Amino acid sequence: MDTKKSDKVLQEFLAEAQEIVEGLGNDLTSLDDARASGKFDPDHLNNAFRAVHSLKGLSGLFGLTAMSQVSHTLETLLDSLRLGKVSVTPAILDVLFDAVELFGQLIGDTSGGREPDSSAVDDYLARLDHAAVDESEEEGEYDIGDYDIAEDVLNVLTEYEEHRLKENAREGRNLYRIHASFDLLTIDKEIEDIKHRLKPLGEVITYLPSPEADDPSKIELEVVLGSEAPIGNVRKGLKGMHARVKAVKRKRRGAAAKAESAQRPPAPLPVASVIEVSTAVPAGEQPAAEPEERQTSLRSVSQTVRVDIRKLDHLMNIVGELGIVRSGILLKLDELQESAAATELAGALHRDTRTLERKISELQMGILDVRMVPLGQVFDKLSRVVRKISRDASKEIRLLISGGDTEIDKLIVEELSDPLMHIIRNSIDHGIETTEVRRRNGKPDMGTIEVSAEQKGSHVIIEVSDDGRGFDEVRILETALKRGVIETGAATELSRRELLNLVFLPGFSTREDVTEISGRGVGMDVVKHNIAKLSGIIDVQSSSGRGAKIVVTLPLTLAIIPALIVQVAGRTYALPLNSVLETLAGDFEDVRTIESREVVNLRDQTLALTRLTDLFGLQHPGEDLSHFFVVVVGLAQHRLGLVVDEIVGQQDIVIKSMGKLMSEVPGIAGATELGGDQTVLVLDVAALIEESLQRVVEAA
Amino acid sequence: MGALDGILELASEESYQQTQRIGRTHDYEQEVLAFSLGDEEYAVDILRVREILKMIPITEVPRTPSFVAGIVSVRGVVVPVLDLRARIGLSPAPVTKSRRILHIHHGEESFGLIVDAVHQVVRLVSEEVEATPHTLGGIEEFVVGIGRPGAGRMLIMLNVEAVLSFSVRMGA
Repeated sequence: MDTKKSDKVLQEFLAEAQEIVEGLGNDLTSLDDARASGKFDPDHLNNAFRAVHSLKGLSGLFGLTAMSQVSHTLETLLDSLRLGKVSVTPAILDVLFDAVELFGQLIGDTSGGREPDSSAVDDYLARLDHAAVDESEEEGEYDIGDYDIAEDVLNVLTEYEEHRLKENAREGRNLYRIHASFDLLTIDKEIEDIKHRLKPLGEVITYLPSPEADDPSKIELEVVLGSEAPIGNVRKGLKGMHARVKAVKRKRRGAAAKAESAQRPPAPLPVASVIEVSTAVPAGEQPAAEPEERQTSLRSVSQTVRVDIRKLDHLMNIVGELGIVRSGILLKLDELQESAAATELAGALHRDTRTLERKISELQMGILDVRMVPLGQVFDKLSRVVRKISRDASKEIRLLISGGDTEIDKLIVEELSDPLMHIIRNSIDHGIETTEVRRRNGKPDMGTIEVSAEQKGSHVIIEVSDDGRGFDEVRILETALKRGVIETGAATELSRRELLNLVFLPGFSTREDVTEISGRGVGMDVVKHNIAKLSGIIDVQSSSGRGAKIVVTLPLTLAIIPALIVQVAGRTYALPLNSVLETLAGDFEDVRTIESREVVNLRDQTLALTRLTDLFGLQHPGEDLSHFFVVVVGLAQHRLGLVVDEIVGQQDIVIKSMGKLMSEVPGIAGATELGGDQTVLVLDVAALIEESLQRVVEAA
Repeated sequence: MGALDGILELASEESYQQTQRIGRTHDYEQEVLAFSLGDEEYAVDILRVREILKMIPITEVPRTPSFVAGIVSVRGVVVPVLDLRARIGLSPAPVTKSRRILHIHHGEESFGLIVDAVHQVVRLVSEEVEATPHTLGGIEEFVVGIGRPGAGRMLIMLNVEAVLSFSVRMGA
């Protein structure tokens, strides 16, 4: 496939496949959690089955044999699982989780144009075959004869539905037939509604066309429900809907059957009936796939649209340019107002422009909002990673996640999974102790890692903390001295924070044995670099013996931001306003020098200064200014005063990339256009603060 | 020529050469854009040229090699601009009104190259392109060949990839 068009189609397939695999991973995690707590939601297994089924179809369509083979065999296993022929054991779950890993790899290989690792695939297929042992002979078929269900109804059920019906009967549940009539125009909403109401009451086994169809403008269905609730509760739950509930009579109580079924883990339960030919998986974050009804075709109820982020970038650009046009119009308006004759017209134009301004602002907000996705996307992936790594490290670890619905720009989310995974890997490998060590220190056997996210103003704070042994400050110092990173004399001068931050230097690792990536010391500096690329910063806090916390601060979005426009040595620069704390006017007399660094006193605190003329090697155009301005910038707890000649004003800007080569220039985040055909550079505050901190360490 | 004035238009050397080419098959043919840096003529493959821009104000970017003149904005897209003379190692020349910026494709992005003057599109066939001589005053790495379209004209054909292969971390 080397034509551009099929490339695009392949990319779309890969994007969709990835989403399906993500969903599969989440369902398996839920399945695992449910099994651990003894409860069972059959939805998860059923969703997993359908996900793999979709994947099988899609990969077959694109001739991706490896993926297609794995999906096929996996689908058979999942089918046996949900039909209760094979029980869900930890071993089986391991096999299923490994499928997620394998799919991820296969998708990656296809995307990168590489051949899949066929030996890995064959190994896995062998494992699958071995795992799918049919246990159904031990159980025997359950006789549904207890219940008064017409033969023709039973004939119409699929094998799965029949299995579910028998399972409900085996567990001695009540069976109800609910006759509901739906309006043709709103049927999809109404079915959603009834599903929603019935879910807490029990399990919907199937939807049947109703034998008693009276009204031609309506669609009549019968829902078969298995529930432990008495009929009164079911009726109450459906209050307000056009539905009649009838109980299916039972000839005798299935009490003995109930005891028998309690022995093995309950098999999965679906919500909707399953059709052989599945439609494409609906896009977006909706958890439950839509019901594929057997009767009349229903419109897709999916409320979300999958959008190529480049289209959003394009829209952003347009909004940015609208802003520039607006500035231009305002300028001309001012000119117009000078000329007395047109004052009235100018006034009217002014009002219109203000309305235009408001609308552009709203448009901007709207588009920005579209780019925002919840961090939960990344966090969910982490549970799987934790599970795997803690198993490999033979440590018991639980992951607590909060703030998953905090939203952040999609581009940032994409770049976050790797760094976060690294941080957690470090936590597990180096932070959390082994069970014996923990016991000896009076800590609970199970280590805890907490991941939380919170929005604070125009930033998002992500914290990863563990209750392990904390950072070994003594070893860090030793390694730093050994590597020649700091001088012996300087070592005592380092503050605790500076000491901990040494771990971010390249090639740093205090562990003698190498454990995958984190041991080799490639970890933390790469993490810091990746976070810095997103204009974020990372900090470390540690309490010896009690645990450590890593705090990542990120901007909400990298798209349109308010900026402070300043002038230095005749050049104009833009500073993202969200990192500006305040501005000061100063005189040269206020500046003191401490250890060859210029500082000023700000409310009894020392503020380090940086002159952009020094940093950028700019020449002053001759004038000797005795006054200057200081823009105090800060991120997290770091502060820096940037010396500028003039503060021009505030403006919303769109940061534009200067291309791959130029993006390597330290301290420059990009460029932007101000009204009036001026192209100015946007400063990277995080990098400037970094540099200034670096110089402190070097000077020490 | 008195009697023939106004009746015959004598062909220039070049157009004569062009007619000689018609009907003959060559190994390859390419069209190049000829421009000048100082007294010498250079050329780039016309397919790499997106457009020719007048000299608009260039925003300088600190901490970049000296041959990076800065950036400009072309219809909303930020494009880095190189001083071609400086890039290939020629000494600086006074600025003239004929200076232009060649907007060059570079994969999915683009670059600007400042040149002293833009001439015209020239068609070159394989026989008219010679290999780069070994001594070309130090700019050999940036040259793919010498084009001789006729009339004693010599076009130094630029290796655009080599020109655009640099790192901003190179000493300024």
